[in-house]
Amino acid sequence: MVDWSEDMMKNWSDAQRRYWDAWSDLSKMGQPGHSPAGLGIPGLGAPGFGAPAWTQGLEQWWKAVSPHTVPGASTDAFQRMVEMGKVYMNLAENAYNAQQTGNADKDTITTWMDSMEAGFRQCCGQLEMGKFGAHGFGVGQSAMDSWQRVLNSMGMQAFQEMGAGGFHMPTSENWSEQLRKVLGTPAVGYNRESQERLQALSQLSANYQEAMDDYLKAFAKQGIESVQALRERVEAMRNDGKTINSLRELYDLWVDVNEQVYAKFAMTDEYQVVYGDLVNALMALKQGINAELDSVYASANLPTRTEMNAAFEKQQALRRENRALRKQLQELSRKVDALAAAQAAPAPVAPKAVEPKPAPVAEPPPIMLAEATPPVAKPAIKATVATAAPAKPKAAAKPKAPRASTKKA
Amino acid sequence: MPFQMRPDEILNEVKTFNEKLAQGMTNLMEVGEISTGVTPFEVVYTEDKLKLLHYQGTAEPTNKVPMLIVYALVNRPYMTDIQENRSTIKGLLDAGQDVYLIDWGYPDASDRYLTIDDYLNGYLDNCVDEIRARHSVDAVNLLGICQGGAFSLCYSAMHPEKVKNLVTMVTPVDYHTPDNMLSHWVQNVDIDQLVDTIGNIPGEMLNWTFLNLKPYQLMGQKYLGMVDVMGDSQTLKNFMRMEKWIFDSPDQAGETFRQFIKDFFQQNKLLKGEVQIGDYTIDLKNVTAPVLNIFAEQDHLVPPDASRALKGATGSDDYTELSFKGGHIGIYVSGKAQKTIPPAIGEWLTARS
Repeated sequence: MVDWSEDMMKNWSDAQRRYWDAWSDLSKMGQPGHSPAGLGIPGLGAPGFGAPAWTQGLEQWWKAVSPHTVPGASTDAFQRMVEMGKVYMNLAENAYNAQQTGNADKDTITTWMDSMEAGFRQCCGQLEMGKFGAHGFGVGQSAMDSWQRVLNSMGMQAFQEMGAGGFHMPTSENWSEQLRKVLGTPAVGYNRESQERLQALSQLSANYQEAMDDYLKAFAKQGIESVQALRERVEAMRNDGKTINSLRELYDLWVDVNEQVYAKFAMTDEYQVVYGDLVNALMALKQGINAELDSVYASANLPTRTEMNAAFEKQQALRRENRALRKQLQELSRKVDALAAAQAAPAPVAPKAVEPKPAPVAEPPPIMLAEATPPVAKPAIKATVATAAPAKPKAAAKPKAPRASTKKA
Repeated sequence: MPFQMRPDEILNEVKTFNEKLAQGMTNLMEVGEISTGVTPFEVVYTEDKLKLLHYQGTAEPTNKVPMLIVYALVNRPYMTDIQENRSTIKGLLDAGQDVYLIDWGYPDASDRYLTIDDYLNGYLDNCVDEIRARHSVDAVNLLGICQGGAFSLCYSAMHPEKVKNLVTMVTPVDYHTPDNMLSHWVQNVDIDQLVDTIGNIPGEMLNWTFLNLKPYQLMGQKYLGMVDVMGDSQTLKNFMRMEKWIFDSPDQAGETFRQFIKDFFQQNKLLKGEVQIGDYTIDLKNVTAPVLNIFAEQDHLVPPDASRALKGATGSDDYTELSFKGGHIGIYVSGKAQKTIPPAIGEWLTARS
């Protein structure tokens, strides 16, 4: 695969060189509108006469390369990088086109900001499939991807497109009202209970979508504020005679302004509410799904989540008990060893004239000192460990007594 | 006019970007396995999923009081030893410390009922006892990192006799400072419902939360910046190593998460002296060991003021603060940190051991 990749990269580099040389020549000749579209290089040619298609080129290149990469951290990171690269290419295309028209300053920045603002306003108005992800300069899509990973980790892949994605339902108030009426229809007949549960689940699903919409709209609102802040920053730069000399500078400025606006937004009560509501709505939905699944498992005579949790809880209780017993056992073992060592010690040499007496059993110093230490209270094992000396240390531990206020009365 | 770029300059920038990208892809294909953890260690104690690591330095430790690093449950502890020239562990060994570290492992569904009491009065206490026994000492030096710092404070309050010195790094103490974004966000989250519903908290959920602290930098700018470093294989490998660490997020044991978020983040009980762990009510005044509190001035996760709140909160009459001009991660992996932080910790500990 490496060899193949090297060949592929070489071809790509050669093609790029030819392509950029052609662009460069045209640029120097001052011939706007004469794109080197084509050149026989897939993905690099411009779809329209005179307009660069660098974003498309990068996308096609990645499509060709990505199937040959090995999934993992490296590829994930590279994929994110390519996504950001496409955003960057798009910025470059806009900038290039604007510069070619001759009204560079206004068109490059103002038009770009106008476009971004329009996108965010569209998001605020109605969230439709992919709309949110298309804005925020690629960050919106990354945020959505990250949220989808959260859903995947909970086994909720089916819901990952909900909100600003795939099976997004209309979000107008009228539609919501109609849905609520349908879900509020009384259940009747033999399957009444099942129908009620499904209605409740549908309601939870609708609630989650509403929470997701509110969350995305809040972000879109922040996007509009960011564009406004960017306008102010650009204006301030203009007044100060400062310049932006590269695309990267422009991009970094955009990031800087966005982070500043976002940092304020994220500390508002509004964000706290939409964030909490999103997580809470998702959990309510997940809880409803869990209940339904448990019902299905139980009917199939399979272990349910509830039963598994009960087993796990019992297991943890046994772990605690086991840990306490192990500590007790270690302590007893040490005491026995100490006693055995004391008994095995040679008896004191008695004066010859005196009848030997049995050797005294020496008090094992570590035990004495250990016993003198304050007991270590443990909640689950209080009765047993409270009288035990601290575990393990070979040396005489002389800990300070804990303050009385530390322990629970 | 702010935007001053000629078409040929734009072309050149795009061309350079594409060249770097293509070269970077070649390097990426050859990057191979991304290793983490460079310092040799011996596993000296295990319990359930926990491992107690004892690091081997190139010279005998000069400080006879062993040090135990208590890392957070969030993310993996190899960040402290991430690469040869970016290793806090190595720095501490070089500073004469005898270093142990707790690797908590990856909790699974069977661990959802693990509580903070289990972690601190069970696992951590057993590790401390193991080290005390191995070295025949009464007390050890504790170094707590982030959440691990909060845990170390709690442990020191419960078992002051076993803690000779306490070092806290980027440790939140006051969770309600006005700039604490995480704390602000979770106030409206129904934590009971969250834990009751999914049990353990998926690492992906934590990733999502952390990325949202600075979304435009962490989800956008960082990856565009990556293009600039991809030409150099070693720099690329280092980038990927950090990337691996960032997304290597263990799930969080449900019950521990429940108490940590509710008591610490939502209700700020640590500073109020109201945290209940097992049979103990945590009173920071019961922390009597010398304390070295290290925080990062540009920390976006744990605001410096959240850490500074420790001053005056403990019962120690030997309190020192060390402020680092960097961020939450930079304090462990930046070149500047390598030169300043471990030596400072070593010097402070040796003077008190």
